[in-house]
Amino acid sequence: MKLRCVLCVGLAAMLAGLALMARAEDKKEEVTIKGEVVDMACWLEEGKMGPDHAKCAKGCVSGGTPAGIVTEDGSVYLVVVHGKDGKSPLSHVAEMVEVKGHVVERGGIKGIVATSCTKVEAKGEGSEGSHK
Amino acid sequence: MKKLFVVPLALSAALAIADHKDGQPAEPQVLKGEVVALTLYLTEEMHGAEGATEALAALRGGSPAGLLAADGTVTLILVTSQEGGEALKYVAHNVEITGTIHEHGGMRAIVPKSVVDLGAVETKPVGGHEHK
Repeated sequence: MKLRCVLCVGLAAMLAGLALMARAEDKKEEVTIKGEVVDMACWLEEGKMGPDHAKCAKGCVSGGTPAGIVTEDGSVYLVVVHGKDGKSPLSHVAEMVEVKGHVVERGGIKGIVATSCTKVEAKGEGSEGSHK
Repeated sequence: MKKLFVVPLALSAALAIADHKDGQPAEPQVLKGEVVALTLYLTEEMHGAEGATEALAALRGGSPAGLLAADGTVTLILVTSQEGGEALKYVAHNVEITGTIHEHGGMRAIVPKSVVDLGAVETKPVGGHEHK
């Protein structure tokens, strides 16, 4: 009888451990990406980005155009979910940013769920900053 | 006198060919699929009739929209303040979108010119992930 109890407890513990392992695997690691926040319409249609295009990009994103983050290697992450605490990539359109978050990819679309976003200096940019 | 017409015509043709070579398709294309809220689809794979209310709320809240094709590929629906907004009315519906496709940095998007509603998406079978 005792042996059965021990086996049952052992089995339950093993199942609980497996469940915990599965949950741990579900948690995606946080990544950090650096790039410019662009409005997807102008960037995809005409490749427009950078300080010369800042005013248009801000207008587009505030008008509902999706935003993306274009990294130095040319890949793009759709801004999927944004916080409302001022840390959102949407508060930094046409600026170089460092975004921490979770990458989500489905059906060929790659996005980032940002947990934090800070402005960084662009290459060759002075301390005054020109991405405004 | 004829030269006055021939030269501009030849120039226009040359420019059109050059533009086509840049990867900007001149002809609109047709895509079929379900309109989804990318915030929900990318993070939770939520789509279909069950998620229609949440998807509509997400789109109204600024979530980017996508077109989920039967083969599982997703195309970003590029909505600007000028065009494309009609597609968002058909969240959780199958639609046929005619528009210009743009591809850059691994992201594929369509700028809708016209949208035809093909009807609401049917309820998914239990445990199924069919894209109808």
